[in-house]
Amino acid sequence: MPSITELAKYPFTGKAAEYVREIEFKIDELMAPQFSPVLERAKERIEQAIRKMEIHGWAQKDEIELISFPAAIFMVSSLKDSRLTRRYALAEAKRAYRYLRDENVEALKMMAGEFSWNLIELDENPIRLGLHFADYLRNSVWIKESRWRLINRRVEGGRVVLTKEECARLLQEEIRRRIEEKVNKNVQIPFRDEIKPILEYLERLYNETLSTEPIHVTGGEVSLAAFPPCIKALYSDLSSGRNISHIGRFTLTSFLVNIGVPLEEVLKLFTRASDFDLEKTRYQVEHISGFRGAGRKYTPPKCATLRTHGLCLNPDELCRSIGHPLSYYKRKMGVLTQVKRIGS
Amino acid sequence: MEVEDFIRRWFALYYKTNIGGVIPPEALNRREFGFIIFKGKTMVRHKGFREPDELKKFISDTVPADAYHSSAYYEMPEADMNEKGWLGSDLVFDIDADHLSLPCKLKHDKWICMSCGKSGSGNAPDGCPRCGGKIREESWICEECLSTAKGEVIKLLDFLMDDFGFSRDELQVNFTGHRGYHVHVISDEAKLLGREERKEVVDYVTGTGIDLSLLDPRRKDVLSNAPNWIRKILGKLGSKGPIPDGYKRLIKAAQQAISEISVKIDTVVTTDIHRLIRIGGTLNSKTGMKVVRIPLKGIDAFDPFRDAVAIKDGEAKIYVEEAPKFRLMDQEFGPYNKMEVELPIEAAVLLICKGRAYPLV
Repeated sequence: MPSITELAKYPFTGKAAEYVREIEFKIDELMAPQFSPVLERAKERIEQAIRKMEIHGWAQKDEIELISFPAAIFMVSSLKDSRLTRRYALAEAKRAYRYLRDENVEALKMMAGEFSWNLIELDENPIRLGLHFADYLRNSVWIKESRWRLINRRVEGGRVVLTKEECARLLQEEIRRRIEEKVNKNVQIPFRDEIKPILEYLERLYNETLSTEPIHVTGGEVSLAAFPPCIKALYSDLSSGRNISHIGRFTLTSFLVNIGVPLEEVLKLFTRASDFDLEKTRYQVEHISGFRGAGRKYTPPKCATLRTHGLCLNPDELCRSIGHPLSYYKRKMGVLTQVKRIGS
Repeated sequence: MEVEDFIRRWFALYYKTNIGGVIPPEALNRREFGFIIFKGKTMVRHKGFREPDELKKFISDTVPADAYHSSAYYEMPEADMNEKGWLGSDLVFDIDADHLSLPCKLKHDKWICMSCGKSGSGNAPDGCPRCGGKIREESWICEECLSTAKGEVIKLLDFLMDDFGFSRDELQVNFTGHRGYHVHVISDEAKLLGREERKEVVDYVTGTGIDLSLLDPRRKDVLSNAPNWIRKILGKLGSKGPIPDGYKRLIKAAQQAISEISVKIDTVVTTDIHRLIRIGGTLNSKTGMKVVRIPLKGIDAFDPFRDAVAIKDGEAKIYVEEAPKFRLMDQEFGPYNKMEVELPIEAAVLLICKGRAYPLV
């Protein structure tokens, strides 16, 4: 069994959970006086996650540091907000990464084992680790920078070559998802009244800090000149009756719908181009706009996906600094976005 | 005789004697099956079978125009899409001559507007550029198309074995019976890859998103652990002579090298984790030829115009609208232009399935 210090560094592991079970820590004992430091540290973890997306510091005792993690999970889970959950999980995962970065290969291998990774040490000096590409991809797809794309990696017989630091960074992603899962799977138990003020405080803090609505492109004139090159190409292909693929049609439609082109106008574009089945096209366009089916309004695929499917054509200077066709449009239009605050 | 009845009769005869040649997919009871039925050419899907024999009996009883299984494995293959319970999916690649934009396409593919009669060659537009009318496509398959497609398959297999480390027995290659090839990766490790992960695999084999700044010779630090693609590019450039020294010229040469090294696949097929894909040993109604499982070491020798000919032993009198010269087995046929001919059944079926001819009683 690892030391309590070790367990407190990585409180999301099976061994840490086992320890907490063994000392028979019950969440409804949190209000007992001897646990008040636990409660305090749990609150602090969430507070820091909300404010800085990082978690620093350490409780006076290792055991308190360790137990404050399940306590914090209970609190976040009873606040029932998916964005808070994601933010908290990210902060916890970054905390774990800070410790992992400094570990030796054996410790990294142990942590990889926790998630059933297929990881081996390829070379000792300098250290090169080899991770099976499936384990690699499951985590690398969450990281944006181009050096994490599989195509920009050294791969040996199905294993992606990693430095220790890179391995720790990928583990951060795996840890983040495990913590999200823990919050989401957590059984809701009614808290004693005494805890309610803490939860209310955290909820208020969270609302003030991060409840800004996602930015929509709305209103004003739709400007063809502000279309990104990929959309322009699709638009002109369709207008001149040329063949565009299913995914191309989806991209164009969802783009137009999202920048506020009325449904009827989108339909007209399709019918003008060629001898389409009007009812079928209407159905598809309405589906994408969220008027049918599950009521979900679709957004166009991001740039990386468009590149994969060969729809990214003649990218220009502005394309380099954006990752999504709608961001291109927003930038170019210089549309002032409204930032609305919920709950204030 | 009706075209459809004619084809169906010969398909039925084929399945009666060759049903043993149908290749049931691995983990058959976890797969969804779909069939295109001759009558009305409608798709029947969400079918499930427990035993290989049950599948074979269904095929020989119904005589479908086309037969597919899911690349995915499901808890309940026959349930509605949202309730099937996805358990994983084979990693599938589709190499289609139609996507290779080959020069021969301009020679043998045509389209015609059914309203105003405007016609053209090569890729068909969505609607008539003159009147907006419906378009009929007339495509053809030729030796050049299919051998280029085969070259792409060989490049893909190298990627899958050398870079991804798959073993030969995890890889299956099928000729689709029409314009191309499917490569299936049957591996527990690949099975659970999600859409985003598969997209990265697609980018890898198609050479999409390479960070070319790594080629910069001033960045010696990265070359010792250089990405495979950077090595491939430098290898290709090296084989052609001295590597260009100006950065701009280097990038230009690199882009040319990438297009030669990369594999042209239909990207949508690989990222779709619910795809239906043709069953090995069944017939393709676009040609009357069969889907052939090709052993990996037999790829070079594979000849679609010989090895995929399924319906044989018979003759038929047909009227041919128009068809280029072609070869089946060791016999040459055509070109034909508005004429009645009596042909071996395999040639007659191909022309009728391709919509170039109709049967005469």
